[in-house]
Amino acid sequence: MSETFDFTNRLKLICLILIAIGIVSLTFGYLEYAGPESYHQRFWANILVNNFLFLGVAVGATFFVALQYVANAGWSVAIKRIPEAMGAFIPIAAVLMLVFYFAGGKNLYHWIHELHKTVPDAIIAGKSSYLNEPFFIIRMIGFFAIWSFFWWFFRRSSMKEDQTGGLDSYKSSRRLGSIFMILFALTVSFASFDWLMSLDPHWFSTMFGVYSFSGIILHTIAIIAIIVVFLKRKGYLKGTNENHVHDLGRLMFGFSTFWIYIWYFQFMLIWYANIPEETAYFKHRVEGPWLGYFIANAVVNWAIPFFALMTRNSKRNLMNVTIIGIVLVFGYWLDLYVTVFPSAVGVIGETGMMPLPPSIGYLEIGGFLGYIGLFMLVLGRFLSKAPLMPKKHPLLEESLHLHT
Amino acid sequence: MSEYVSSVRQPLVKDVGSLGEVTEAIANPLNRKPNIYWYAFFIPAVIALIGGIAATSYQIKTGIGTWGNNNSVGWGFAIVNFVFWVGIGHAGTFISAVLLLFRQKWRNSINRAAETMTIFAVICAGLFPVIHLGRIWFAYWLIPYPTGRHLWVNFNSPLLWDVFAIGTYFTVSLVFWYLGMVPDFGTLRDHTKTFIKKKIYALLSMGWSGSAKHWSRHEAISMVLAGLATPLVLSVHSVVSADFATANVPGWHTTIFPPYFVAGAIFSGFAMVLTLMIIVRKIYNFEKYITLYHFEQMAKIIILTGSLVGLAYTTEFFMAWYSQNPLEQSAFLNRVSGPYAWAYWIMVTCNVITPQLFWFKKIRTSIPLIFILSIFVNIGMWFERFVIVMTLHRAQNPDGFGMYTPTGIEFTEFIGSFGLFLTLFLLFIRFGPYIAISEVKDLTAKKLNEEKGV
Repeated sequence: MSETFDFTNRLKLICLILIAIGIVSLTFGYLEYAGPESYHQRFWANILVNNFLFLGVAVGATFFVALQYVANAGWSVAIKRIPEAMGAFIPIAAVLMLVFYFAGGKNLYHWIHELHKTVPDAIIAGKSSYLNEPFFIIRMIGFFAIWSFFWWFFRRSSMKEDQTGGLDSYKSSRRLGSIFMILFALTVSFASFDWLMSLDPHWFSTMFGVYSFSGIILHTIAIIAIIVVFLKRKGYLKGTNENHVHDLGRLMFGFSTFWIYIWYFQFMLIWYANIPEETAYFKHRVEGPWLGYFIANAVVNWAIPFFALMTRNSKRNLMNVTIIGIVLVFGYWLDLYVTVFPSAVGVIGETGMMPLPPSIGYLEIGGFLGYIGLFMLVLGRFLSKAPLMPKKHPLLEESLHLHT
Repeated sequence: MSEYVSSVRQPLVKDVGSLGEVTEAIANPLNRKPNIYWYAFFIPAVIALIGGIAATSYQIKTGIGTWGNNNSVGWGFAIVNFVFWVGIGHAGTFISAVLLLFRQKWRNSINRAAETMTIFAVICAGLFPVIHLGRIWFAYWLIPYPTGRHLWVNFNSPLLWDVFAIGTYFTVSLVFWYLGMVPDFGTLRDHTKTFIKKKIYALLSMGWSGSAKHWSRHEAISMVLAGLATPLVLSVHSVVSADFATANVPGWHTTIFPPYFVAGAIFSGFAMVLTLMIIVRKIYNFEKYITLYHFEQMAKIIILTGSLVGLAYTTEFFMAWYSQNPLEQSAFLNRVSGPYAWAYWIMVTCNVITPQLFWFKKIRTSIPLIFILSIFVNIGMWFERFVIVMTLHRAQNPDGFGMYTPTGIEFTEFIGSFGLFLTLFLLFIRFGPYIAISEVKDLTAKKLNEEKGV
């Protein structure tokens, strides 16, 4: 059971090629899309989408590990090294996010400009005890400190358990896991208010934190499923069987439906009450050229997985689960694209920001591929650092005998 | 289900010698006269029920004017009690459907009582909107069908969505509950001596023989119904929350309401399950089947859902400030410091603060403390709905200001709903399979095999 993932040169090369594509597209994009007042809005909006996406699944993976401990879940022990390795992207995402902010990404946040005016907008000025630059940065660092610590802790105690055995690591992970549940809920809510919702500083929705959570957990599970199937194909994870994939497929199916539930109610309640300050957000997305993307979001993240994972056999078919997993990864990008771009990329007119029509070019595709390469590189390195199967987890045998 | 069970897991049944012992323990009390504890609960429940019937009859005859509702607070106790009881009705389906899908075996010895509670709670809930109709004899107008009147229901109204959401939920829960009992009715049929009882159980068991074919069908339908019931757990209370959230009322119109109401519903439902299971365990001495471990697990769900409710309160408050909308802000300030602030603080204490005591193992393993804290949650969750509805006492203009004082009729009807609920529940545990015999046997068989080393 002490198999270790071999991060071959071929795989490394693929990652590096993807990263190179990313760097080239981003560089050209930066030079080409100097927006109004040279804010490079489109460039930075791309960085924000990718930062949030990969940070989200890294934090989501850490949450997944904690959740398995807190819920005392046995089935997932054989695959827990995968979310543990995914969490390694958190410190990297922290650097990327700080670079994003200080190198010019903060120009996406219209409220920062507004606060520098002699007579700022009254509503934005009213929010300034929360939305101000120093507090924004302090919160950002705080979120990353919390997430990084818990990822480090869970991984370290999992490694220690391999050496020493016993119940100490298991018990301390359970204890800290339950604390992380609370911190995770708070940090994810407020991080999404800060980084995504405040792009449109007049708009607010209490559901927004739940919406971000539903996206994070759904797409984290999709990525875990892709990696499990990939490793199985390569001959690793011999202790797992199609029941593990089946369980991941069930979770994908369930959380996809949870996601559309949140998506629908957030939209429906705002549409129904029809208050201009709230509908402003959806108006840009359902009127004009963004409508197709708005609907495609619901189709890709819910309709396709829902019908493709309905039957028992479809969830036990490794190929099918991988395809739907990949669809969902692109779906997450689309979800964030529709969330970020109409709020961040546009022209300031008399009636506020008018978004530019959607246009997916080499910058969007290349940038996303580059981030995928970087994520895979980090993941591959951390997967190859430790045995793929925990050795002395007290619930390991339950996972190896999983039969549903 | 993985047959292998790790040694860190606690046993789900304790000191049971044989499968026959399980049947005896659960079926025998149904053939005896109930003990003093049962009467101690049943008699007050029936008295409360009679009071409720009398008050409701008077109210229907006289009119809604017997209530304290007024122009500002058009919804009073009726909607508070309605949402309260619907919320209670969530735990049963959560335990039987969601926990079944998540393979939580500990649900086996409490699921039946929880499902029963769901059915009766939804009945209590449904009564309040109906008696609020004013002209109750036109209740069938809620159902859309083509008539010569050319009068259709208002499909745009969330109150109508409630009719469908709760109707669906009740139907599916009822079918799920009944089908789950079929094998147990079979056992009871074979175990009772009285002629009439035997006939009734035989009728209800639909010719159950316990053959492999029957079991295979039974398990398949259970999984399908669990899959259907799971989205219903979320949809019912989401639709109920839409009654408030679709309105342009500051303090009501907030997008987090659907998931927040669902979390609150599961929270209140589990509190009620705890309260009732502690009573049932006392009446029938079921320490072997309903162990401390069950209560501990439920206490943990209370922490989880209570914290989610706390997160929703925090988000609502933060967002009311963040919106910089003076009406939103004043609605929330008024909750904290207005004339109904006492209700708000009862709500926060009982829902957010006291459930956190369950973090301590000493507290969540002490039956008296669990009982007290579960009652706190019941109180807190009733007040949550009261606080939300009382948002109405301050409209945007002073002409819409007005206080609400419930009348004696409303109190009697509220207590009457508890009477109805407890009467039905106590009658059920007197005559029905209040613990899922076959599912507990499943756990016992596994435990016995393990001990024998099979």
